[in-house]
Amino acid sequence: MVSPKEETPLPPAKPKKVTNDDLYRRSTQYRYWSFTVSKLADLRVLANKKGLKSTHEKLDNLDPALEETKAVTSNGLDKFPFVTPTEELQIITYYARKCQDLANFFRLPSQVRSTAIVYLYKFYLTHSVMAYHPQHIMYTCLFLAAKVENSFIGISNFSNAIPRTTPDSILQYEYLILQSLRFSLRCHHPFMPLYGFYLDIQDLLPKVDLKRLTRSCDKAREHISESLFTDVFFLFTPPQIALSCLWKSDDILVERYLAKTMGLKKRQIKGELAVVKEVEKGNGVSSESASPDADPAENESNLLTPQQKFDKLMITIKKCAHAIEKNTCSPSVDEARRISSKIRYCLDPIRYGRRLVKQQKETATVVVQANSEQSRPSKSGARMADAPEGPSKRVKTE
Amino acid sequence: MSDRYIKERKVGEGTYAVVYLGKQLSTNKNVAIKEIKTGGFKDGLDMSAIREVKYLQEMSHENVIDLVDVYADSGKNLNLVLEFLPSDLEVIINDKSLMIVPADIKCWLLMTLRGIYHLHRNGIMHRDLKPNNLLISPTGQLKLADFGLARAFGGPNEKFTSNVVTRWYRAPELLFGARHYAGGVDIWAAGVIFAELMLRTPYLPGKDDNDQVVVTFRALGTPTEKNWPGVSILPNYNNLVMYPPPSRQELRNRFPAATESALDLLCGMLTLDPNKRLDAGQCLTHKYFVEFPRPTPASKLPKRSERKESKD
Repeated sequence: MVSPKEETPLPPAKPKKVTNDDLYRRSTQYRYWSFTVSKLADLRVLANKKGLKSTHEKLDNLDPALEETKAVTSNGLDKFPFVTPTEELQIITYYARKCQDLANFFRLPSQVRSTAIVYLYKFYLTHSVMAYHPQHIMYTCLFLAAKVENSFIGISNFSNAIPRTTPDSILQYEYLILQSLRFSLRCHHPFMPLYGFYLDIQDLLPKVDLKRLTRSCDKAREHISESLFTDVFFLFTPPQIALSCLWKSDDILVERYLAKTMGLKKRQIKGELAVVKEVEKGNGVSSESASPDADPAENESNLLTPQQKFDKLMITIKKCAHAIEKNTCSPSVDEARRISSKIRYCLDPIRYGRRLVKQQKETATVVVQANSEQSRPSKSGARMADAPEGPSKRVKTE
Repeated sequence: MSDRYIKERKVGEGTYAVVYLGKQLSTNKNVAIKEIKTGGFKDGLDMSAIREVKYLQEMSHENVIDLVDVYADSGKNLNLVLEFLPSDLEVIINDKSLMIVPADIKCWLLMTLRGIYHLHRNGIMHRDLKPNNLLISPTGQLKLADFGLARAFGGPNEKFTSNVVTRWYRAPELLFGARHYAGGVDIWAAGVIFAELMLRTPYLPGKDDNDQVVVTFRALGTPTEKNWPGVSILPNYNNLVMYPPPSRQELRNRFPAATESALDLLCGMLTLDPNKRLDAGQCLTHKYFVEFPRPTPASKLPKRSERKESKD
């Protein structure tokens, strides 16, 4: 059950001009999907616990008479390949990157790609990869995002292009995803604000070198695309992320532009930046700027001097830039394969039992072979060389 | 089935939804429940349903239909709980027993434009405004409804379909097949509705898509490069009969009850070139809304009589 309007703030008693910030605060992106760093981490731990619970239930339901069940039990549940919260995030990011490739394959616009990736991350704030494999969820997220963002692809064409899927295997998760998204589908991405800044900068700094600006914005778009694989979507507003990415590609330009919007003179900026650096050192990254919990009284910002406003914004921009750099992860294929096999065991623990049994038998065979080695050294030598590549080695590393 | 709402009776059925009249149990308030079918569609959940959920979730304004709740029932249907709005503007326009005075029209137009303004500020185009989608609450408030065709304003490289808006309310850029357009299409539709309120009959009732072009430009003049720079490169700008724009006197004759400001506003909303057309903010601050008569209070607006309602 979802009641989207429960959290809607009451309208103020006196009619007040609705600012653009107010509008953003009314969006579901802000009301449902903006968090503090710690809240976000809590949600992921909770989702992970849910996943552990579902796998434990599956383990409990295994038929105790089966050879596989006995193998799992005797092996010890502490050795069962549960997925950790860190691994969850890694594998989600791995498939988020796959999602990007797939979106590019279908030549979908960046809006669709971004929305699909955001859906995927949102889904795993309430579910664990131990309950739903991110590969399947990713397909459905992309299919749904294409519909939501007006780039509809028919399910048969979509499924035909992806190996080992059927229309049903994709559609079956659509409703579950909608529910996990709390039926809030609209995503605001930083691309539009970036374009806004691109225009506004030309307006405010008429002498700006257009080639440089265009180059910086193109680079910023790349940063934005990369930022999708971090948590900044949940921590900052789209214009903050846009500014931050533009700042990453051209800090001088952004600082000059912001100084101009805030009515600061050039000479003042240098001093300001020194202040910012000081603050940054002491503050670390707590990134609470976009979260509803840290909603500072709006009047407060009206009391700030232009310099203070500039400082404040620069701190946010730098925090955001820092979060993008810090969070970006790109798990290797091997890493993903390792986590993915753990997921398969969690989803279907009997498979793990089967592996243990097989492994035990293989070990036994190797022992037998080793015993008979003296009589036929030439052949078994080759077999022994194969052994480290076999499954027994892989299970150990898990 | 939800434990918070009950569905009392079916009041309509569309391709992707069944609409029920129901009650919110906690408040005993009437609600409309749109049950969206999720199964049996080749491509999953219907696009219109997706758009409706997507945009209504973001809206909160007294002139936009309120999405009270969204819930999933056991049958895996998606249920949109909407505020109960028993009437619409089309019903009122067509009910010839109702007397409509200029102050009433001003109030309806004002409420329509307020709703549009809110949408546009949120970056959303409705794309299907018509009297039938302007619903009326029991207290007389007008609310924009049916967001099945809505979409967000696009980026500079996005192309839209021009096949939107019910024919009679379709702006000239759509008639010409433009792939880029914006909130102007809603303003045009509202302008046509404004005219319809004054005339009590559809203003530009084209019989088909070709006829719509003829009817529209016969009434308002065929656009040229002179009054609409760039119009001639639009896909369907060809084989046009060149009608002259109407003179002020012709407009006065067509809308005898309209004041000069009312005509000004109407012309501003029905400006052929979308770049010169008034936007929602300009419409709302137009002198028409400050001159006499003041708009009728919403609760005093003409309503369909109770007897007729029960006959439905």
